[in-house]
Formats: sequence, C-alpha cells, structure tokens
Amino acid sequence: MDNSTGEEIVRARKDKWVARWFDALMRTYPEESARFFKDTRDPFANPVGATLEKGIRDLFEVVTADTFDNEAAKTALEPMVRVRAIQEMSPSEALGFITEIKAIVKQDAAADSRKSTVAEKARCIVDNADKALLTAFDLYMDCKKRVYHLRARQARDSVRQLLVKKELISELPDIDPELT
Amino acid sequence: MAETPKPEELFKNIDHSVPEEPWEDVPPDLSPGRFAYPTKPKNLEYLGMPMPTKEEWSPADEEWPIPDNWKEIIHEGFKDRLEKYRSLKIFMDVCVRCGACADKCHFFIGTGDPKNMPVLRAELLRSVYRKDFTTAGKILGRISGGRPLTKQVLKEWFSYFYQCTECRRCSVYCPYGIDTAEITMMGRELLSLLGLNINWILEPAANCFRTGNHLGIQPHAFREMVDFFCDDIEEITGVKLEPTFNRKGAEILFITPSGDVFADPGTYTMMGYLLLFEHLGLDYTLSTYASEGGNFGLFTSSEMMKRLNSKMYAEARRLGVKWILGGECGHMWRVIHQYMDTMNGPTDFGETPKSPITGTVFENAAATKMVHITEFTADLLRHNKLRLDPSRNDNKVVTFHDSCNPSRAMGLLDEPREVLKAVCNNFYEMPENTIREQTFCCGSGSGLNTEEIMELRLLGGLPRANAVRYVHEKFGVNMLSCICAIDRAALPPLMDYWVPGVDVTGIHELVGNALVMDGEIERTMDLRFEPLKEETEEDADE
Repeated sequence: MDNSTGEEIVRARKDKWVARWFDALMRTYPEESARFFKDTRDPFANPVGATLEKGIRDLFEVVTADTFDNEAAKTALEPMVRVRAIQEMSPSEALGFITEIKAIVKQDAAADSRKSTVAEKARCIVDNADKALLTAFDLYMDCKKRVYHLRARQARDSVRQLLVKKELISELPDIDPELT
Repeated sequence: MAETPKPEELFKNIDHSVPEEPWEDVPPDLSPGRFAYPTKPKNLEYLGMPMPTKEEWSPADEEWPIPDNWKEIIHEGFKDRLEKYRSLKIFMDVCVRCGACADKCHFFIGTGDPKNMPVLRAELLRSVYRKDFTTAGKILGRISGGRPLTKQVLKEWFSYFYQCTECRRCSVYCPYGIDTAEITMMGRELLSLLGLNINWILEPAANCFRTGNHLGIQPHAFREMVDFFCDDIEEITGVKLEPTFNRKGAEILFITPSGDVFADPGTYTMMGYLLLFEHLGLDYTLSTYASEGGNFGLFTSSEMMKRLNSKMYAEARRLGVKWILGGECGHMWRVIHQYMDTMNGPTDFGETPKSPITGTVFENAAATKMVHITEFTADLLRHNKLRLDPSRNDNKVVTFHDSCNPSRAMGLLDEPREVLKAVCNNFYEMPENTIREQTFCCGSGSGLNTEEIMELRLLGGLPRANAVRYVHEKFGVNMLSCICAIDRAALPPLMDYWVPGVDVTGIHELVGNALVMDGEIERTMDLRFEPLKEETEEDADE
C-alpha cells in the first residue's frame, strides 16, 4: 500500500501534468502559431505564450489544492481568459482547455488504480477544475462586456465633444456642492 | 461522486487538430465582427471610385457585388502596378521565405492566425502573381507556389489586407527589406478597383475632399473649436491667445491632424501647440482649408494619397508662407517624408525651413518644406529658448510609445525623448525590443480604428499594451505619451482593456503644462482642468 499524501502525489507528477495541460492548450492553435507561442521565450516578443504558460502553472496550483480558492482561481485565470476571450474562437473553445486537466489526471489515476489516494486526489482535481471553469465563465463575460463597452464608448464619443462645444447639445451643468 | 462527463464528450466541437488542407484552401472568417464595414456607396461616388453596387452589402454575404469581368480588372490592375513600381516586382520575386518576419507582426503575435505572418500575407498576393505572371507558375501552377485567382482569394485579400496596419515592423527584420506595408497598399489598391474597401477609410477621405478634414468639420466650426481651446487656455493660464486663420503673409503654416481639434485627448495636445507658439511669438497661421494633416489616401491608393496631399502645398502657396510646420501625426509623416516630394514636388513656394527663434536651418526638410513639431521643439530646447517648469507634470509617470510612422518611416527617435525629458521629471522607457525602430503598433493604424473590429484591434495592440503593463507595474507609469493622432484615439481603449489606470497624452500637451508663459496666473490645473497635485489634508484645511 502506497502511503503518499495527496500533496506528494501531485508534486511527483507536477512537471508532467503541467506540460501535458499546456500542450493541450496549445493544440487549440494552428501548428505554426503553437510552435511560436511555446518556443519564443521573450515575454515582450511573445506576450500570449508567456501569459498562457504562467497562467497554466498558476492554475495548476489552484486545481491541485485541497480546497478550492475562488480568488486564487480568478487571479490565475484572468490574464489567460482576457486573451482568449477576444481571440477568434467560440466561448467553449476559449475555455475548454480548463477541463483538459481532468482527462490528464484521470488517465494517470487509472494507471495507478490500486492506489486509493491517487484516485481520491484525482477526484478532488476534477472537482476543482469544474469550479474553475465556472469562475472562468464569469471572467469571460466580464471581458466581453468590457469590449462592448469600449465599442459603445467609441461610437458615442466620436463626435459628442464637438456637439457639446458647438452648443448644438446642451448638457446639465455640474452642480456645485457648496451651493446646495 | 456523480459520474462526470468526459471532457472530450463535453467539448466535441473543439477541433484540436491542424487543418488537413494547405493554407491556400482554408477560407477566411468573414463572420460579423471579423471585418470592417464596407464603404457606403455615396462616399465612393463622391470620390469618383469604382462602386460595386448602390445597395448596402456585407462581406458576410456569400455572393459579393462585383462586376462579371472582375478577374480581368484585377489582372490588368496587377500588371499595371508591376510595370509602374519596380519595388512591387522585386517584393514579389525576392522573398526566400526565411521566416525572419514571421513572428514580428503584432497581429500574428496577438491572434495566432498564421495568415497574419507577414510572409504569408504577402504570399496571398504573391501566389496569384506566380500563377499569372511567371513562366514557372503558368506551367507548374501549385507546384511552384502559384494559385488561380478565385472569389475565395478575393475574400482572403479583403480579410487580411485589412488586418495589416502598414506599420512596417516586419520590414525592419527582413534581410531583403521587403516592405509589407507596400504589399498591403497594393492589395488594397487592387481591391478598390472592384469597389471593395472599408468605410472607416473612405468616408474620412471623402470628407477631406469636401470640407478639408476627416470628420467633415466646416471652416467656421473648425475656427470656433480653436477659439474654445483659447477660452480654456485663458481660464487655466490667464493668458489670452489670438491665433489667426488663413492669414496671407504669415511666415509659417501650421497643419495638424484634425483629431487634435475634435477628439480628446488630442485636443489637449492642440492647446499645447497654441501655448508654445504664443510663448515664442511665432508668426504662424492655421488653415481652415488644409485643416487635416492625416491622409487616408495612403490606405486607399497612391492616386488618392496624391490628391489629398496636394492641398497642403496649394494652401502654402496661396497664403505665401515660407514653410510648413506639422503637428503630431503618424501616417501623415510617412506621406510627407517618403511620398510627398515625388507626388507633388518640387515645391514652388517658400524657402528651406529655418527656425525664426534659433536660426537653425532644417536642411533635412529642404525638399518638402515641412518640419515635424518635435524636431522644432527639440531644437528650441537645445538653444535654451523655453522657460519650463517640468514639476507641473509631476503627477504623471510617463512612458513613450514610438508611433510606427515617425519612428520607422522618418527615423524620428530621439527628438520626442529630448522634449519629454525636458518637460517632465518622471520618464521611463519600455523594454528595448518594443520601442524605437522595433516599436509595436497600437493595433489600429492604417484606417482600422473602427469599433466593429474592436477585438481584433485589442489583439493587435496586445504586444504594445504588454510592454506598457510592464512599466506600469515596475515604475508606476500612469501616462502613455505618443506623437500620433490615431494613437491618441486607439490607445485609450487598448489601455482600458489591458492596463487600466494608464492614460494617453500627446507630447505637446505635456509641453503646454510645463511652459511658463509671460503674464500667466499661478497654475493650479493642467490642460485637462485636473489639479496639478493631489489635494492634501493640509490644502483642504486652508
């Protein structure tokens, strides 16, 4: 009987799991682009690759923790979601990579089926990944709303100032608090 | 634990595999949100350009309204241009596909779409060139990289030549100096022969023709806007300015992009120019006819660029000025520096620009007779001609975005920095491979600053924003300065999405804040009516 704790199980497999998860994420891009995102190390020449690589590492810590920390999940996911929310892909494509860790962990757990602690840890990771997906969904919508806001603001502001200055429209004056 | 569906079951619509077919066969995505709106027929009509239809149409439509002989039109147009421009022929022939440019495009870096690699963008045109104009291509076809011109190719051109901002970063790295911007320009010219272009470019061009500037501001309104700025300046500084318009016999004609007159934060930069000229007692005038420095002809065709550019000289000649001073603009300077003399020169007015304050003769501008304002201001600083209080900009921690055209098309790298360092105390550079010649585009240049493709613009601007975020987090940078009107319009939403807390300014806004004017009142506000320093509890008690 293996007496490894959940933490030890994860530590022993961390590099392998993170690498596989990152590879799964990269498979959502065309081959030439994935090669660039993976291989270009300079974060200023390759902001997408650098963001996603760090994001996966941070998110791995979140999903392998014993209890799910939503704030930590947000922090880890936010930079990745911000990029993928505006890249050319559907919402499920943009966030689907989060669930890929489940298959990766389950595959390993199946191979280690005699070790109950591994299976237990795997169930915990699967659970956390589902919760992270929901958190990511909130973040995704925030990003989309921000884009709609920017669009609307550009359309509104493009000539508005001209109208105000030319006094073609008259806005209510600011209220001086000392006079009220 | 409940049985969780396997991820592969949940996300069956995700296809991780690389497309089986070669790149030539992958159709472009022209779903709504992925393209800029096509030009409204009235604008094409006004400019006398080919018009596909009098009805409104969408690039998302399966069938596009193009003439039956469209292939012939494109073929003849391509042939004409290959004969007219040796550069185009060389760019078509010389690429060895070394890949040096591949990862240098901000759109590729942001979107991860291989067709945004500059080499592949050029290949869109080059493949048709091979098939139609080279012996090997005519015989071997696809084996030698040729492909026939089809409607899908046309759609691909429309998609990807309007996903290039003509920033020329890729050209810096090309060992043969292939200028991808000129390839995009040719691609857009060919599309325009069929009436396929975008409204955000052609409407400003048409407005420019009619009223002299992009937005269609009429002469009296242009003047009133400037008068409003003078009122604001008087309120802030106590100094009354009286700029002149269309004044014959002035020494200098000042031309700036109209964005500086109608759009924040460019308007504050305009106030900065006006304060500087007053400080110097400069003999200058503004024109309500040549009221636009920008030239959207650059994004349409060489003919349109020439037509729009010619009014600068026409007005300089009419007013009898000695030379032209140009404001902070991006592509305006590529037109002036690289095309103006060929198109509308040699000049038949004035003399080689000479600063009336320092006596410096700008020999570099002898041909065009136009001087960039940061060059002019940097010269003033070198001669110690400005009274400045840079502490008035102390609430700003500033970095500088080299706008693509002034940096790469005219080598204006040090002058803006000289000015910035003189007028503010907190200045930090972004990382080396994101500034100067290697600067990253704002993502919205060459007429793409339109709201319907906001996602694409945000992705194109990601490498720039990423570098800003670095100095924001490391040095507390809260102000991104630039010398381009499109930047001043495009960078605020870019910052809002990627680096909230960073504002955008032109350099001469900061100059205006710092200038100590004769007879001014004590300055408590900057040109945005914002307090020069944070109010402390002590101030509040007073």
